[in-house]
Amino acid sequence: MKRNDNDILAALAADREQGFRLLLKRFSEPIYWHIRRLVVSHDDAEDAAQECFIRVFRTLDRRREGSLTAWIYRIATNEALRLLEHRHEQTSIDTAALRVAADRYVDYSDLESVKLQQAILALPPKQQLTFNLRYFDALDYDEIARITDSTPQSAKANYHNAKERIVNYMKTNDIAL
Amino acid sequence: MKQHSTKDFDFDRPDKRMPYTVPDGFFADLESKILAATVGAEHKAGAEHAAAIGSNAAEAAGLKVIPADTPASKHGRTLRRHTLRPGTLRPGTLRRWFVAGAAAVAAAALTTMLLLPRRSDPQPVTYAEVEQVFTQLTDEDQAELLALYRNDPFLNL
Repeated sequence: MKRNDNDILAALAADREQGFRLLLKRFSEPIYWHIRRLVVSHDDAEDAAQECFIRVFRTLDRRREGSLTAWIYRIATNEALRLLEHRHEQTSIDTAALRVAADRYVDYSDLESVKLQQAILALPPKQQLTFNLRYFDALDYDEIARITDSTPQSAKANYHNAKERIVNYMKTNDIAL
Repeated sequence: MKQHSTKDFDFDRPDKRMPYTVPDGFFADLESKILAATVGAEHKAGAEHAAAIGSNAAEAAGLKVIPADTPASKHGRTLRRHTLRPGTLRPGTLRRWFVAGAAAVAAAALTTMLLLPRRSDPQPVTYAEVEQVFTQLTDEDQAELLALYRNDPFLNL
């Protein structure tokens, strides 16, 4: 059964440890995948996911009002971006393709999804982030705006621009393996 | 680089597939690692803090406690006296704890008797009775009690 934010917040208020276990059950997989889509490498995603939840645990008491989901995704996004910054990587079509191709844990039998990931990785960072949060995580634009530090209107515009770019990429590029 | 062609992408498809995979049992391992680094670390820190408090209390009571994992041949007896670990007390240590507790209780009783001699409904306790109880204590307990009495600032105003 999937717990919603209110269930987890109530559990955290009653028993911090038990609440954190629920939070982890609810968010560990989506947060790992969210980070993985940004950093690509499985090992890096694992490190960043661990850092993210350690930070969540340490700062639970300082969390302000608002969406728990958006708060956790924002921490996860910051961890992923910190890791990418540490690598001094610049997103480009070539490096995006190479990053997907280089990882051990990629299923190359599904060519369409490989190509989609390459198209997403070729987007500007904010569009990439917005597209992932909307398309894969099905978050609403208010939550996306909180995570990306923008407005819901801007998030919506970023999503639609990202879609156009992806369609264009899918039509004009072949998969690089 | 191998080249592949694909058909147009449909954004409205219900399954949002990704090419990424993870090793078997990865998420259970991830959760275990995170719990060990968060909840587990907090428990460990709490246990160490409690042990440190216990060690300080033991030392304050004049007790000597030995560690479980400090080889005497390497560190000598001096180090062995300053770390408390559960289940590693020397045989006489438990008895000394008990004696210290009993002495504290006796000192508290003695204090009560000395400070409340003129109650409206005085208890028929005499110094002879106190002395009788005192003589029934072992020499070691008597010495502990006297030391406690001499050093008690409230009894020696």
